[in-house]
Amino acid sequence: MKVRWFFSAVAMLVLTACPSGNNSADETTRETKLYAAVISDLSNEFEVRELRPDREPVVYIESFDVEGVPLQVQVELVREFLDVYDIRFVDIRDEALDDEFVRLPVRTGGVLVGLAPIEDNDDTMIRAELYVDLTHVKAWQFSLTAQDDGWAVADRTVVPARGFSAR
Amino acid sequence: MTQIALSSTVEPDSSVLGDSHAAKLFFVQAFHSIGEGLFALSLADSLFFNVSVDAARPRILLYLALTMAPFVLLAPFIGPLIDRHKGGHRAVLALSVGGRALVAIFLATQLKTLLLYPLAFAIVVLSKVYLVSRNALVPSLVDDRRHLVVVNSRLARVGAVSGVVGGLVGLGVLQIADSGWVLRAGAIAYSMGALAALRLPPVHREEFSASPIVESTEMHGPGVTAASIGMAGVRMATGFILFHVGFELKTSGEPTWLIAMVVGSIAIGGFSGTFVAPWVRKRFDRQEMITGSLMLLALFAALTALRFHAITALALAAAVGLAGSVARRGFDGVLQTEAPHARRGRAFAGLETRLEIAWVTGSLIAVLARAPDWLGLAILTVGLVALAGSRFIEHRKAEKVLAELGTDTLALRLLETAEAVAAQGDRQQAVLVALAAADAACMDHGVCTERVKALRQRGLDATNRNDPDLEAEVMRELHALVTESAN
Repeated sequence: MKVRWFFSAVAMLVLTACPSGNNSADETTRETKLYAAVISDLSNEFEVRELRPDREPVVYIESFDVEGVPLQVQVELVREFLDVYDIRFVDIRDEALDDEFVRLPVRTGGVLVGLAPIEDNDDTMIRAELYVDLTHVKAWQFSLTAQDDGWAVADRTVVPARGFSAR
Repeated sequence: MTQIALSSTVEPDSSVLGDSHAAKLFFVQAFHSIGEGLFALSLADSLFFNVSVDAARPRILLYLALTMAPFVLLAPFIGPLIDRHKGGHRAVLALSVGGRALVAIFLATQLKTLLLYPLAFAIVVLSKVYLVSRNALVPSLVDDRRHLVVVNSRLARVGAVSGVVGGLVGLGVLQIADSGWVLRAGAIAYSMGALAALRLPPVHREEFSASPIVESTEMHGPGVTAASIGMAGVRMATGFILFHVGFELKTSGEPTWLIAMVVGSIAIGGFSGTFVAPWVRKRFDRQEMITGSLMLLALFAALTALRFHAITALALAAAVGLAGSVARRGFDGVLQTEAPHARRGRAFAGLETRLEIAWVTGSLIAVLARAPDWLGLAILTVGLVALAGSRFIEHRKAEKVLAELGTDTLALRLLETAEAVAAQGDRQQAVLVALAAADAACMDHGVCTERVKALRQRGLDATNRNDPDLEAEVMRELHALVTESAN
């Protein structure tokens, strides 16, 4: 009886833990490459302070999608920027902000990037926002095009901040 | 039946490092704990701190549940097999530490991949297997039963110091290399621990086991049951706090070195506990030590719930180590006095297994509930106070009953069981249990072997011949013998 209960519980957890069908390996790769292209392009705007010169600058990432960025995509993005940035995904914004300062800057001199869900209409679009502190928020709409080895930013337009302005 | 010195319940503080078998186990413990320190430090730079907790939670839940698998599925089947083979426990000890070395080497290259989760939890499983095997093996390696509590206490002390040493070595490694190399250093420590485990003498655990009836009666005695529930409460709270505080520190954006410090605080608390426990023991009885540990955890959980901060989190972690250490000393003392036969038997491994399951259950609740910092700790406080309060009341009741009845010996409890079995109509089984009661009474006093031998023969004749009159007569004589011994 005890063993049966155990197996039932583990089976339920396996179902919960496994990625759902619409998150195939191809889709994971595509999402990773799209977001990686946006972060790379956005990195020109980063003003990270190197508080610890021996460590990579920290880039916190918040998803503006209620479902969040899938775990596999998070892992791939962490690996993509392994020797450049210390990528950290946050569940809540406070995780990234230093509340000891009035202007709520990003902890450890890093930056906070907000990523909206991928929009696949005529073009592939992603809205991304950059938060440095309360007075320093920028937002862009990125247009991306497929290339042989992945995705590249074709164009970006400054837009009003929506995700970080909610604060 | 086992030949074990039974009469004394003294807990001497004399040196037991001269006990060569136990001393060999100290080396295994030291290398194992150095590996633990290095492993914990390496995790501070792992994927765990890169991905969001919400996204990782289903996987953490899955692997935590799987952590239970070896205990739920394998222990009932593999445990008896290991017991039957001379050197079986030594082999399990060596395999669990050596296995961790192999997993650590593999994990060194996977700290930033999703394989982190299964590999890290494999290390946790092997750690639990190590703890269960070690605790079950200790009594067989100690020549004098009176040294058991002291040996356990020193093992905890060796473990705490070595864990901190491992952490410091890891910090040194991090100055020149990455956390993968910290894990490789851990693999070296684990390998040395495995080699040290192989140098332990082979022990045939069955040589030390009493009859299953004696073990079962001891393990289900009121004192052991109460101590087990209290200890399970401490272990469950430990698992809960570890994961709850870990997640809270992560989501409150605390630096990863602080999480490494939390692990260090637990070790320091545990180390302090090995010195505090004898002092506490002089002032309180063993059950009160466990109840007090629950209250200590409740107090610090409440303080941390009121103001979750790095300082309160570190204090809570130290309290976890301290409470675990003091409660363990009380628990070992209860087992030593109230379950001396079972302490050496396989029933004890089952008890240790349940304690590990309690730890995993606490961790699972923390991950599943994912409550806000104050709420999770407030609920934990209420649970701990309720458990400690009920233990306090039960303990007072038990003391009152004991004062009225006189000494509650194993022999008397077995005799009660025999009479209950006889009342259900199973006379043959009743005679066998009563014989076990007589054995226990003789072992307590060491004087009536010939009389028991004669009674045993008559009891066996009676059951073989299915002679109810003879069975009743033997039961009467056994009853007289046991009650005479008790008086």
